[in-house]
Amino acid sequence: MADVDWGNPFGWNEQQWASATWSQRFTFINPFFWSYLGVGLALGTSIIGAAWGIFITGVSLLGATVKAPRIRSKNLISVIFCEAVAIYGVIMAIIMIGKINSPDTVADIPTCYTQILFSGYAMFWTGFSVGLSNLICGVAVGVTGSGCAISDAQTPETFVKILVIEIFGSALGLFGVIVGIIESSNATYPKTC
Amino acid sequence: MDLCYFAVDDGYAEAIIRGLRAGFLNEAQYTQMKSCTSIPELKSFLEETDYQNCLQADQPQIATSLLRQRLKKKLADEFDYIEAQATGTLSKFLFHLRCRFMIDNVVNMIEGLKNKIDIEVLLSNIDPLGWFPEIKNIKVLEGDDYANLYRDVLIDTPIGVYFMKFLDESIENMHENRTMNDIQNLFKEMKPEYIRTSLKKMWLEDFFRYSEENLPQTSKEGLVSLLKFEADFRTIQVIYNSIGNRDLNTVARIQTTRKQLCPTIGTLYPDCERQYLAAAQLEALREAVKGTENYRDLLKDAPDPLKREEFNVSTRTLDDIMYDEECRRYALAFDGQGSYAVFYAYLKLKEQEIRNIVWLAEMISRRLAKNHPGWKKIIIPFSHLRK
Repeated sequence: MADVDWGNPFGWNEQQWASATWSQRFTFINPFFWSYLGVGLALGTSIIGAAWGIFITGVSLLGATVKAPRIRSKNLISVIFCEAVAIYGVIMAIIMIGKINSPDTVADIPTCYTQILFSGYAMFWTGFSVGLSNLICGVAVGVTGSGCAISDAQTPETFVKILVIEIFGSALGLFGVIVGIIESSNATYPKTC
Repeated sequence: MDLCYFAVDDGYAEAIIRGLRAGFLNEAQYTQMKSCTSIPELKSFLEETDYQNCLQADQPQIATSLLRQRLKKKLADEFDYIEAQATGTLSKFLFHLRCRFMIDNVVNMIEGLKNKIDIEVLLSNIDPLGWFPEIKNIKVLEGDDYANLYRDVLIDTPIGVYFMKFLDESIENMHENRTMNDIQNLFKEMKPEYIRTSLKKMWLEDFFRYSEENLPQTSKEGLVSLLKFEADFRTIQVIYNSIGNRDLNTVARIQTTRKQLCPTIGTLYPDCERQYLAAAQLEALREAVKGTENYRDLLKDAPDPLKREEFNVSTRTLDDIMYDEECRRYALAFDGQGSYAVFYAYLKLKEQEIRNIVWLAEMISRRLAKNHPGWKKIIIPFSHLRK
């Protein structure tokens, strides 16, 4: 790894920092902070969404199964759809971690820094988009799944119809992953620059 | 937004209610019950439905009152289970629901004690939904001291607050120079129906206030509309029953009685109050309610209360019309998720079902002919939903 302080790449001293503008201070936030925060967001918020969905649907499934045991196995599909959302988050996080690395030799700091900063921002916002869409997707599938369990207990014919709604709901998470992959594909952390 | 976090605390209880809803008897089963020719047949039919285990321990020729007790005990056990699963807001809510049954029990006990019925018999006939530990303490004190009974014993019960209010209201309505004797006589002579209606009115208002203030949005919407409707029905019932009532012979007495018994919530309350309090005939009552919702259509077919002596089993009384409309609305409460209204609606509809079964048991045990109009008197919950 090159011996560069990415939080202070131009080596400014105290006096230069004291006269720096807020915009400059923001720009010099360490790009690797942005990158790894993006990874955390992608993973963490997706899992929050999946967990939320699972607990909402799981509770209703438990209650409805008490009086109508036949719905037990079929309605686990709702839980599986919620779980898929968490898997999307893990996949994105692994892809993003694979891209992030620190350069070995640095010839020209400004261009290097610019490229790494670009990649850092790309990672952060990828994580945010993927995480947010998976969060909402998980909640949507969970709420629909709980309605599905309850109405299946009452009228068996409604199960397949509500499942279609869930499938549309889980497509939301997929949109997030697709956009995230494209967004993070441009982010390159050069080995030498 | 309620749907996102309703399931955290109350999802299980609601899902159990939904499962129980599937256990309601449908029209085909009622037709089968009507075709039973004896009580043992009815009993064996009931054992195949959701009521399977509650009648197992009894002999085939079960008495109708025992049948009612067993069915109610099953409902009470289910309700206890749901209350045990409930936390926080829901458990307070369910407790409020029970208070209505407690009022019934206490009034029945007091009435029974006045008529010198043995306390053990009374205790075995109480509605199990309204059981509370202090109910055994209700005994008539020496000298028929009813005011003290109300003040000392009943205050400790969970419904004590309603008795306090009731006492205060009744004493306030008396004339200035009242003595202890007057108060004693007042309570000795007061009819139990009057006490019951007053207490239930207070309970309804309290419950309404509780729903409006403490419940989440979806539950509030559902419950407020159901409770307003119930309050309107009670108002109409009180006015209807007091038309032509021979005990209320002065206009002032009619007005105060009606004012005391009509709930102050509901769509009829402030707007039509003066009109319906003064209604002396069915036409006047119809005039008073004609602007509100569908009450005009409901009262259109109601028989005239002044001709009460001409009613027989085949007349469609106001009670029948109202039960019908109530059942329809309670069935609609099941059409949404994440609301507490389903608990309230379930209780009411299950009670209606128990009433239906007991009525059919009575009809069967009297061996009435199949074209007797009484067979049509049952109102089947959810019947308007099925095709």
